[in-house]
Order: sequence, then structure tokens, then C-alpha cells
Amino acid sequence: MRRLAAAGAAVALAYVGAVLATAHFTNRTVRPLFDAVGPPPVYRWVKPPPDFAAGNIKPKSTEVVFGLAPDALPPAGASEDSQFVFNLPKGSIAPHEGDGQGVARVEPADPDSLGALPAKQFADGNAYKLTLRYETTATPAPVTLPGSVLLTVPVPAEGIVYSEDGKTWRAVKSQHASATAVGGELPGAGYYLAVTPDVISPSGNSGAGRLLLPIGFTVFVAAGLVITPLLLRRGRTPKTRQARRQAARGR
Amino acid sequence: MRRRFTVAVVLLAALATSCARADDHGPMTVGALYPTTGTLGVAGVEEQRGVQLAVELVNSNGGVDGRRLRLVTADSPTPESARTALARLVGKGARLVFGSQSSAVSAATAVAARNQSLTFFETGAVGTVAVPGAGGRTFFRLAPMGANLGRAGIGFVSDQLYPGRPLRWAVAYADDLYGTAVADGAVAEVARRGGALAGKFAYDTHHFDPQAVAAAIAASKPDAMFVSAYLDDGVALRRATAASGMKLLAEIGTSSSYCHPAFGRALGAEAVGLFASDKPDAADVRADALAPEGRAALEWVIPRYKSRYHEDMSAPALSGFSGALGVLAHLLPVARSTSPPRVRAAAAKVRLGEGSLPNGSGLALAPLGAADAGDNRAATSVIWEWVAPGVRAVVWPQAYATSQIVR
Repeated sequence: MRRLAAAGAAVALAYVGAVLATAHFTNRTVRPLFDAVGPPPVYRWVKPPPDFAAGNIKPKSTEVVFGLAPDALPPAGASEDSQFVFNLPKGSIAPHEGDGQGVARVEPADPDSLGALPAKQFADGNAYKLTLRYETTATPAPVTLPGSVLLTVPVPAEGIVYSEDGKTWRAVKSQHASATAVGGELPGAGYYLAVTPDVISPSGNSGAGRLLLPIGFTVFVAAGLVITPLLLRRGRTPKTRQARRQAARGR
Repeated sequence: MRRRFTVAVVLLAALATSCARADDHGPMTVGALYPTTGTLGVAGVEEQRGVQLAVELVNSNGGVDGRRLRLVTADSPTPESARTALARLVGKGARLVFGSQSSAVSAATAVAARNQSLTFFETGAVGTVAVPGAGGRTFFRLAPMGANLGRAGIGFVSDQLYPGRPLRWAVAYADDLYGTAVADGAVAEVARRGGALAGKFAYDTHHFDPQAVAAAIAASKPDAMFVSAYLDDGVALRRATAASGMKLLAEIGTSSSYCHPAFGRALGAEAVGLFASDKPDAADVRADALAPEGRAALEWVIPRYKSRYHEDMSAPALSGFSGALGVLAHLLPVARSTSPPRVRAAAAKVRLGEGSLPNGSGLALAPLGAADAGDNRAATSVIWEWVAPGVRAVVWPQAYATSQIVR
């Protein structure tokens, strides 16, 4: 399992490295991926929008064990469905007395159950809670060197936000990896969430809602056509009426 | 008093008329919503290019009712992104939108278009769109229906290869909108012909075990097999069924796999003799079988596509071009607006015979109330065969055939 996770993590790391390096050296956004004729990507939602609820497979939590010895592979892992992939550099988790291994737990979460996002940003898929602990003593394992994270997203993402406690968020340095993936920095344990400027709500504006504005305006204009002459008539001063009567008599 | 009243009425009337849609004047804006990035991006880009060229052809002929067409585009790489992509197109002034190449994106777009009271024309995806109240109102399909591709495949093998011989069919399919729509058509056609169904074999493309599926198919002892797969699973299933030693009289697939050039490249000689029920591409449409207007459009677009994109016009590109041309050159001049009610009314009136469009299709959108409301009953599909390693040709119907059947 560890070897498998390490291999997967190495591939993911190489991919993110290639993206960042190519973007850096060519000064343009790239997607070093080969497209294929295949089924559309299926996102696994913790809480799916109504139109994607049918057939949704809820993502599960996963745990990955990593070694702490100097010759151990660096900590890395992914959620069961690979929608969340993380890598930490070697030596990023300090050895701990009484512990030979550490455990990383990846837990998908509903973003609505967490703190409010920054203005004009909306959740792009699930949030993921990454917990790092020492295996035997079960004490939290702090991260001393930042790593990287890759999130699969249902709609193209603007970036990644991070929260230590699930209440307040801050943006982390991120890279748009592809239409359905975004990579970024991993400062430590906590919550990670991709964000987009557009709210994902497939119900959209209803046709009735779209009709309200023109209907309202038409009613306003019609009312104006009826009310304006009445107001004008009421606005006539007695003096004016009297003057007109006199003028009529004088004709 | 009378003068003030008149001025007030005139001002209000002017205000009211100033609120007429900007769409009624100046360029007519149409949208293109395709996946142009991500795993669906290659075919999405090609289909969108087709729509772009249809816009250019109509503009080169004077536009619609004297108004130029303006195409605005939005990327929708996943079903979840369809709504926001559609909202972007609306923001750019589009009330009529072409899309979307993928059945999953198509279904999501159809929901969003219905909710926003827009008109959505599907130019490529074949999967069933079961969106209540959309078909024939806000959703129209110009491409062949998936079910019809399935029916055509069964019909071709039964009538052309083994006439009068009852066959026992296995139907294997990707268990999603596209795969199910095509497979359902195939199964219905087997039943309609009184044939025997050895079995239906649905599989999850994301957890696909080709050996297990092939073993289950072999155990059902079919004479012939129909497959609606994507490329990778289609290739894997073909290899697995061949390795299982299963002897089939005929094997026919459909779009996204068996007719795709990459399918032939992957299987080489192993693909020879396999058939596919799908849309034609530009290189394999016989211009002499088309009506004059369809032929003229095909002859206009092939060299332009090649010179601009440095490749032959693929099936998705031709599908996008033909579908959009049907709407822009024939339906919009009747509607004279992209206003959904007028487009809907025009859709009920306009009829083009088969061969009028450059992919061999006509235009006959099924009316409201019909089971297939909004679907193009005159959409053409063809039967391909891999006639040599890496070489495919249209073998049926005869009017469009570029090769004899070689199996």
C-alpha cells in the first residue's frame, strides 16, 4: 500500500513539477496532458448539487501511513478517488520519540459546513481535511517544510484556499493545472478547497425569474400611462382653471 | 394640458420601445458551448470549429435577414460547468446556443437552457436527454439520436450481412447516458425484429474489467455483438473478446470508439472486418450523393478547414458545421430572430430533405408532443467498416458508400 501510494505520489509530483517548470521556463500556461476519446470525468461529491445527485458516489476518508526514518519515502498520499493528492518533501515531518511512523488522514468535507469563503469566491467541489499525526502516540505531526497539493475539480478553478481550523480561509500559491485540476502549495494540516468565481448551482435562473423584470417594467409603463394624465390634471391650479374659464367667457 | 399629456405619452412610449432587445438590431449573436479543454477537448474543439465555419459561410452569403452573425464561445469541460458557461454566453448576448459534443455535458446544458429559457441545439452528442419540458421547446438535437445509431447497426448486420438468418445478439455498453442510449436502440431493434438477445452487458468505464466482461459475453454464446463504448474500453473489450476465443459472425460498434481513427491505429489488422454505426466525416461523404446545396457547402468547407487547421475535417467538425448550417442558413431566416418562441415556431415549419446538409442529413425536427420531440428525424448516419489495417470506409447506405463491404 505504501509503495503504491508512493508511486502514485511520485507521478503526481512529477506532473505538478512539469506543469510548474514548463510554465516557468516558457512563461505560458500549459497542460502537459494527452486528451483522449473517453467518458467525461465524474466528480464525486460529498453534497452534490441537485442535478448531479443521481448516481453520485460519495467520497470516503482514507489513511496513509508514512515512515519517519531518514531513509523513508517522503510523506505522500491521495484520497480514495484521487480527487485530492498531496506530497510533502523529505524531512518535512520531524521524527518523534516513541513513533516510527506517521499517519495522514484525508477526509472529504462539505464546504457549506465550514467557514465562509472570501468575497466573490465559491466552493469548487469538496473541501478536504488533511490530518497528520504520529502513529503510536497519536499526537499531531507538524509540517516543517511546505508540500504540494493537487485537487480535481468539477469546474475550472481559480485557485486553492487553505484553512487551519475550517473557519477562516486564506489563498495559497496555486497553479491552474488543467480544466479539471488545480495544484497548489500545502503549508500543513488543515482544510483545502478549490475556489471558482462562479457558483455551481445547476438549477440556474428560472424562466419565471427572467420574466419578472420585463413584466414588472411593462406594468410600470402601463401604470405610468394611466397615472400621469391624472396627476397632470390634479396638478392644475384653481387659478389656472379660473383663468381658462375667464378666457372662454371672453371669446 | 393636452400638449403636456402628449409629451408624457410620447416619452413613456419611447422609453418602452427603447427596451426592445438589442438582439433585434445589429449583429445576431449565437453561442457555442463545447468542451474545448480537458478530456473531451479534442472533439469539442473540432465541433466548435465546424460551427465557426458555418457562421462564416452564412455571413459570406449576406448573413441572416441582412444581419451579420456573431459567434461567442464558452468552454464547458465538465457537465458541472455547463450552467456557468451558458450564463457567460447569455452575458455576451446569445439566446441561441450550439453545443456540446458530450452526452453528459448535453444533458446538463439542456437543463440550464430550459431554466434560462434559451434555445439549445445539440450538434454532436447522441445520448438521450430526459429533461422534462425541454425537447421541442428549448432543446433540439441535430445529430442522430443514439438510439437510432443502435437501431441502424442492428439493422445493417441483419439486413445486409445475414438477411433472413436470426441472430443471437450480445449488447455491451458503457453504463452512462451515451452508452445506454445507443444500447437501448440496439436492444429495441433486436426485439422489433424478433431476434434473440443473448444478454446486455453494462460496465462502469471508471472500473472496467474487460476480461470479466468478455467472459460474461462469451458465456452467453452470442452470434453477433453490438458495442457502445469509448475508445480505451472499446479497444480493451475488443482485445479481450478476441483473446477469449469467442467466434462472432459480426461485431459492430458506434461513435467514440469503433469508428474512431485511433481505434484502427490501436488494433491494426485486428480491427479489419469490424463495423461502426456513426456519423460520417468530411473525407468520407460522397458529394455526388448530396443535394446541390449540401454539396456546395461541403465543397466550400473542406478546403477551408484543411487550410486553416492543417488537418482533414473530422466527423465532429462536419457534424458541428452541418448542424449549425441547418439552423443558421435555413431555420433562422424563417425565425428572423434568435428569440426562443420564434426559433421554436420556425423549427416546427422548416423541413429539409436528406442530403440538403453537407453531412447527408436533412432537417425535420420532431414536433412537440412526439416522443422524440426536438430530435432531428432526418439526421443521417452511416455504417463504417475497417477495410484494411488503419483504413476505414463508409460501406452503407449505398448512396454514401465509398467502399464495398470487405469482411
